[in-house]
Amino acid sequence: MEKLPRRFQFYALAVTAVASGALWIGAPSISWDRWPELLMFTVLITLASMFPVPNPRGGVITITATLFYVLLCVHNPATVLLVSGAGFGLGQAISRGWVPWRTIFAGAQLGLSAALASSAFRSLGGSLENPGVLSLLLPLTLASLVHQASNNLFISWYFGWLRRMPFLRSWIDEFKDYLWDNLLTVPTAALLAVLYITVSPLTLLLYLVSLPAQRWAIELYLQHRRLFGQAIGSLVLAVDASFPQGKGHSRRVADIAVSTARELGLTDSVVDGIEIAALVHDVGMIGLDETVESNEIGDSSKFLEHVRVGAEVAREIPRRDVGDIVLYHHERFDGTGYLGLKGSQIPLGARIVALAEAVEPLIRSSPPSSGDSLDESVIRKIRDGAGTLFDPRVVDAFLTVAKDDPSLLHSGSDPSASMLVAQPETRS
Amino acid sequence: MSASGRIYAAILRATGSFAIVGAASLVLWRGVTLQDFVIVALMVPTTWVRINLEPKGYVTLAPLVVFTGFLLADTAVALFVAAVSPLVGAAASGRQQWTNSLGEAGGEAIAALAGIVLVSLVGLQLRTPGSVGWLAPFVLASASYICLRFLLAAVDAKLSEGVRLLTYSNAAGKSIAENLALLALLAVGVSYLGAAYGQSNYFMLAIATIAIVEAYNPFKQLSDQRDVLFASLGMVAHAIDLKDAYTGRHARDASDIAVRIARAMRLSEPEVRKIKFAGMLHDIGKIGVSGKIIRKPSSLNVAEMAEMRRHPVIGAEIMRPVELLAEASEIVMHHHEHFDGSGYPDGLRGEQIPVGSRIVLVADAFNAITTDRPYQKARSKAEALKVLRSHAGTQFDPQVVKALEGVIHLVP
Repeated sequence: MEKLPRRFQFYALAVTAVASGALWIGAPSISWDRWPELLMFTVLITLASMFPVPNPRGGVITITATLFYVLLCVHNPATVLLVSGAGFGLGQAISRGWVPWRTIFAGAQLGLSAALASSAFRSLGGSLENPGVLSLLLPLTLASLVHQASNNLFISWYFGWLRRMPFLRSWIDEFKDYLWDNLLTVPTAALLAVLYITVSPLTLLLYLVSLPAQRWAIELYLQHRRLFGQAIGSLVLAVDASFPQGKGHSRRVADIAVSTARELGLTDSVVDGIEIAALVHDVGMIGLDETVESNEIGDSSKFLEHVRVGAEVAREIPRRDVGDIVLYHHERFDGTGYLGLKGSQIPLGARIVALAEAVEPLIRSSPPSSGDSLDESVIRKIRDGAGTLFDPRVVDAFLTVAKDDPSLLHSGSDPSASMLVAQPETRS
Repeated sequence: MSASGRIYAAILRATGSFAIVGAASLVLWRGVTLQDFVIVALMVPTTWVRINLEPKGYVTLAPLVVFTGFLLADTAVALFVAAVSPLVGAAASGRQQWTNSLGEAGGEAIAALAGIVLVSLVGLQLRTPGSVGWLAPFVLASASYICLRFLLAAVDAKLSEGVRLLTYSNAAGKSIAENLALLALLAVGVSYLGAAYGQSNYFMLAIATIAIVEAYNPFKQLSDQRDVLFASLGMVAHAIDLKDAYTGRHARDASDIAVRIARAMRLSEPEVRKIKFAGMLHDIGKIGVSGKIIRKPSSLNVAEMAEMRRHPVIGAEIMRPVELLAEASEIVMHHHEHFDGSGYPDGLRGEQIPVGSRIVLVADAFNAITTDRPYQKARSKAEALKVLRSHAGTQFDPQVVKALEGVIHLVP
């Protein structure tokens, strides 16, 4: 991002002008007499915005929000505008390099958001005199929402242009994405604000001490997630090797299931469960004799057995949903499947995996020349199954994804750069 | 598990049930105040944060509420919180076994009771922080709570996993003591805040507790992910057993036996961990070998034998790219080497064979002999040991066989 588009420069200029205007008007009320506190806040915010903590859900988060919320409880809006804007801008300049437009814009938009939130806090009757749900928690929660909404507004306005996405939608998406993280900071901020007033402003420093420990834990968590992925991956390799549909099948089924689940708006934790289940859905196959050919698998009683055994194996993972998805992934929507579950009796995850499993070979065998869209005949086949084989809602979601994200159709990434392939099954 | 382990667990469970009923009736008899309700309610978020430790043990934030109870509430309330917290935690996370939780309840109750009894024995009384002479009884009560929790956890680890006290105090035991001490400190702060805003304002009590829960949350997530990670290895082990279908537990039992032997031989904890993984996954290479060969009841011809003998190499190849398992792959690679050099794939002998491989070989053989197989009925542990002894020095490392003899009553 060396050269910024002209349009953005105007936008940044406008935001900066508004922030400066607000600062000019509010200047008389800035509490300069408490300058050591202001200095401490500026330094802390600068440090915090230079200290990114990896977000377990991807990307990084900075812990500046907590500091802003403490700040807006204990100072007036003009002071908040000055301190948070200056601190955040400085932090950006130091950690990401001094790019005038971007840095000043970052500071200005953040200062404005925090100042707005601070006004909201005050006008909602927020105070630290006698902290309670109505006097502190509720106003602070609403103020945090104002801060987040305004901050997201500035950002998504800009990115809406850049990515040609409808602005309202990207704003709402952004707001939803960070809502939970944001709300979680409120109790801590409330506590720190009370301590700030009743004990000493220096208690904030104590809080900062705990951050490296938290970061350490999060980093280790992410490492464990990666290791978990690898461990599952090795199992998946083994499963695919002893299964006629061949290598990469499980991974591709998982990719399709995950995208479909996201399209359906499921939460991260649910999507995680679906991904794991989709990866190991055929694990019961390991126990099957290789004499069972793929075409006769359909009506073999051994096949039903693989589902049961697979579910039993998958239950080793301490998540109920995974085992259930594996157990029910061969159910049909109209209730004519193996175990006779019907419609919403079948876990949603299992309905998704069922579709993904059926779709994966179709996509793979469709001619590569079909390019960036699904073959019409494939779409027709899938549509035909809606309501009988598949959940129509899941079918719609999948077709939407397939249209929006064609990369899904040829995720030919071959994770099995490996050993099991060097040892092919001897089949009779 | 050994007989003493079972008795210990039963005693804890009995104590747990007794403490829950006793403390609950005591609280009801003395009368419940609004504050008691608040403190008991705080148990829910604090027990939700549960961090499982390696090799054994756990930390939850419930002691924060117990310590706060020491300072602000009646001792009966503190005892009640301690005893009930494992059950509440189990309900909150929804995946604990109730019998385990009851045992944990016993441990918590004993620890809390020790603190309370000790304080009253020396003639002191627990009081609100800030009042005259509050510090000494609190320090006494919380210190004895911490000591007992530590001791009980160490005994549990010794009995159920064979971890020695010194090893334990350097690993999980240390985390337990440190975290509980930190929670005692935090409880003082929380109680100060709670007391400062008067008996009617519980807002600060709740906010402070929730903020602490939040700060601990990354560690909970880490622990949960680690549990899932280890469970996934269990899943892989189970899947391997499908290939060799006489039991679904062989790999894990073999791993447990190997771990027992390794601890009896006083290997370091990282080494034990490697052996644990290797024990679970030692046959992962069989996944690449045709099931017809593996399950063939008659003896194998030369070609089949050659294919079968490739499984340690294939297994090591599967494990090597997985960070967590890379170190254990060496053990898997050599788990069919014989002590006299007649094994495969490299024909290593004696001390050349990694100690983990020598242990896994013995554990694997022992478990195989004591379980039903297609071509042979299960034999008793004594018979199995006799077989192993007769091959000690040729196939098996005599030292490993000897170590197994020492822990034979502890293994499945």
